[in-house]
Amino acid sequence: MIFSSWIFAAFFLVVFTVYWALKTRRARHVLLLLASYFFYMSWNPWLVTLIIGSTVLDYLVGLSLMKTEAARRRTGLLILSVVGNLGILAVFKYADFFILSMRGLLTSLGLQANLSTLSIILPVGISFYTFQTMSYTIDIYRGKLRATRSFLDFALFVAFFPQLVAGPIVKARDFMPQLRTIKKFSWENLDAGVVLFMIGLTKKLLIADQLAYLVDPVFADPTRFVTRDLWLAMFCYGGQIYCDFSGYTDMAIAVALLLGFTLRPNFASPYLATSLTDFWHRWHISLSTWLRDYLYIPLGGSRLGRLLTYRNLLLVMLLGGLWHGASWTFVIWGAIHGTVLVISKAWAERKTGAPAVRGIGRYGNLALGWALTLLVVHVAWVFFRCQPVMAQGALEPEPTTLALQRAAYFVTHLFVPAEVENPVWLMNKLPMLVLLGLMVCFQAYDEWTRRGRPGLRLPAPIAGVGYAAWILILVILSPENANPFIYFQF
Amino acid sequence: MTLMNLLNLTHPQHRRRLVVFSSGILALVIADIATRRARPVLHAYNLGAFDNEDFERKPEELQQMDMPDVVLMGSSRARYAFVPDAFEAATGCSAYNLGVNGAQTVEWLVMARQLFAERKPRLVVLGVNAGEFRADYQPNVGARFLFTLGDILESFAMEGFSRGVFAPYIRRQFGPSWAAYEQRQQVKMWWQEQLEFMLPYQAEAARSYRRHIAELYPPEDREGTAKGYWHPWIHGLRLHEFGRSEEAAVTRVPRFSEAAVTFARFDQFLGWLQDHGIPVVVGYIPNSPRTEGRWVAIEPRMILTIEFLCRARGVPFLRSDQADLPRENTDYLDEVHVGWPLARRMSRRMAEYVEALGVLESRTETTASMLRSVANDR
Repeated sequence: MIFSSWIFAAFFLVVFTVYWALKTRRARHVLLLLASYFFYMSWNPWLVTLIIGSTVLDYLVGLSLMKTEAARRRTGLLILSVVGNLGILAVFKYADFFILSMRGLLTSLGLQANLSTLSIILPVGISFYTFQTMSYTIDIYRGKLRATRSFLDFALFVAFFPQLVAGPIVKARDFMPQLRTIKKFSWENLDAGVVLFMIGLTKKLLIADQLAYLVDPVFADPTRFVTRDLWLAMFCYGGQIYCDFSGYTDMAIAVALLLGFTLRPNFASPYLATSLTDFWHRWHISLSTWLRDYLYIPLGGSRLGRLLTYRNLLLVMLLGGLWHGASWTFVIWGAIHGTVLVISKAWAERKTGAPAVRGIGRYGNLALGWALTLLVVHVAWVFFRCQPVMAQGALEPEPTTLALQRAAYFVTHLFVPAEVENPVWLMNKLPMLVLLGLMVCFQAYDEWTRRGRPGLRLPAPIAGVGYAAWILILVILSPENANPFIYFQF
Repeated sequence: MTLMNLLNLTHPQHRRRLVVFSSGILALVIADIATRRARPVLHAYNLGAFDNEDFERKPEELQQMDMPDVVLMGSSRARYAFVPDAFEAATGCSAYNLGVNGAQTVEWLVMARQLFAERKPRLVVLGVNAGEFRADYQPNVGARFLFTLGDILESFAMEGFSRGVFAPYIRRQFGPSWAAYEQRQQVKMWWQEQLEFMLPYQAEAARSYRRHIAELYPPEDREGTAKGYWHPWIHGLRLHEFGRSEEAAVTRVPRFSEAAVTFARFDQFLGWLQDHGIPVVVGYIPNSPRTEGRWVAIEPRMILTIEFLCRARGVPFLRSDQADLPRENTDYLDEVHVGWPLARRMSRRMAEYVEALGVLESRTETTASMLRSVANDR
């Protein structure tokens, strides 16, 4: 059940109506919890037991942490929670990856390796809710949050359906206080929620799903396309993943808002970033802040000297890459980001103390920074996108080396002209450029309003006709079958 | 309380909301009316409308005429195989072909309920084939064209919930109320053709799709059928259906299960007719010999099950095997649909069988002479 499907529309209409008809906070929370489990079970009914297991573990650990002051016991409880959650991740997400990597290593050493994969189904959204529950116990351990006594509230925090399967990763200290008050229906929230949902739908159906038509064949076999098309496909994929993920996030935030809850934004016009550090302040903000708060800072952050800071940066980005998926291509994606972050940090430190550039030179620096950031981010996306393919009927995906070869060919021939005999003619370049332009408009408008500038406010009758036209365009141009969101696989 | 707040027009925000909402609704209504007016143009892009138009046209035609003595039912196989004229010539009773593309056990049942509850034919002749009893069948065609709320609920109870059934049902309910949604694919293709300067590939695809439909269903063929019957070979369109022969060559071998709900639905259909006092005769419409060879592992078992169910209800069943009805691959339109000469032979054979059973009691002298001529033909 994905947000851009009619079945979700029917489901949400029922939840929304009953939710606001109920008068007590408890009844509403029971409804939301049941709806959340139902929502999750529509993918696989059995995997909801994992969420419930994770919820029970962290609820009990949270209560126990509150009851004890003994440092060793508290540390033991925290380790129990972290190991429990990471254990679920290790088994369900990374077991086959470790087995395949081990097999590859042993084979390359000339040893016989009869290791077979477990072929465990990957639970949707597992990386999101395990990080969310871990943040709860870590915050209690650090004394930044008090454990809740209400199992209902905690279970709802873990399973809240708008952000359950693809984030944003919500921190307990942001969400739990919202559960303490009964929500009042607000027309302003309804206005904002409906518009934000439509923006999300537009990004997903009108841009991301359409860009996929150009992107998929090029990434499936880049050797059949000329250099110009590789560039276009790379930027189209950048547009696709942004519109897919931020479209989902917009819809998630909108659905939560329609139920009276506020989720923090997850994107802030990331392709307008002028440095890679700036990019990570704008892209998947809930993940980058999670990694900062629960990994980078505990590792020492930037407090332990230059080299250890670089190590921490690199480590966080490598693990961030691995968080996205069990594949070496994600690790390489993280490594590219980590390396460039280290280089840019070293560059910035070298410049410390130098007089600030003013005037046109400043704008030149910003433009150069923006172009370089855009290039690095998009080249890294090539590795992100080139995943090992599972052939039809095959039990295991193709070796990662093949995916890496594709990615390496792709990146190399961005800069070295590809000599292709009878290249495939890439169709629909002009409409795809129009869609990329539309994506840029979304980011520019987002940046405009984020800086406190007034949003577009048309006269009421024109706005009404505009919304109607917007709905019609969505209905007519959306693909016949709703495609799943890219980030569901993480 | 909140709704009352909205109606409080003294608040400027509420006033704006109402204006935005009402002008938006008005614009959508205008778009809906425009789409309805444009339907003749949009129809040219709608293969489904022609492919399945019999679902709407035939029941409507049948309701407007005097109920014929014999109604010939089934899927597209019966649509080609049962020639009403041949039945009339052999029995002296009026006949109508209610065979519809895609109709299978559930659709037959629903059509019977909708058409025969008030006005009853003297006999229903049902043409069946193993392909209509596949175990994995879901009545999505019925949901798209026939189902009422009761039918869809019954389907969920018997076939289980399926999005493939629910979605077309919802579209059917929604479509008449919002044409712009129902016709969105056609509107899209029409626009693609108009925006050729910007979307050359899409425009070409839309144009070739429109031409393909026009070739498949030439305007002269859309004008209606004689007693529900139409066959491309009568109109000299021998290649008309062969365009699909490659597709037919890989026709999936149906999955067989004695416990399949299709058999339960078939039994329900026979029971409903019997409960309403409508005699029924079932005849097997065989596939081409080539497909028979491919389906040899399951088809005989399916025929046995169909025959068993008919026997259990005391319904006559005609097998139409090679000895009874000799035929070759070249007698067929494609792998599963019969050609025109074989259709006439098959219809005569079926009519003779009906005659021999004596289920149609009254007979005129003309009919008797027709029967003699049929016998001489054979």
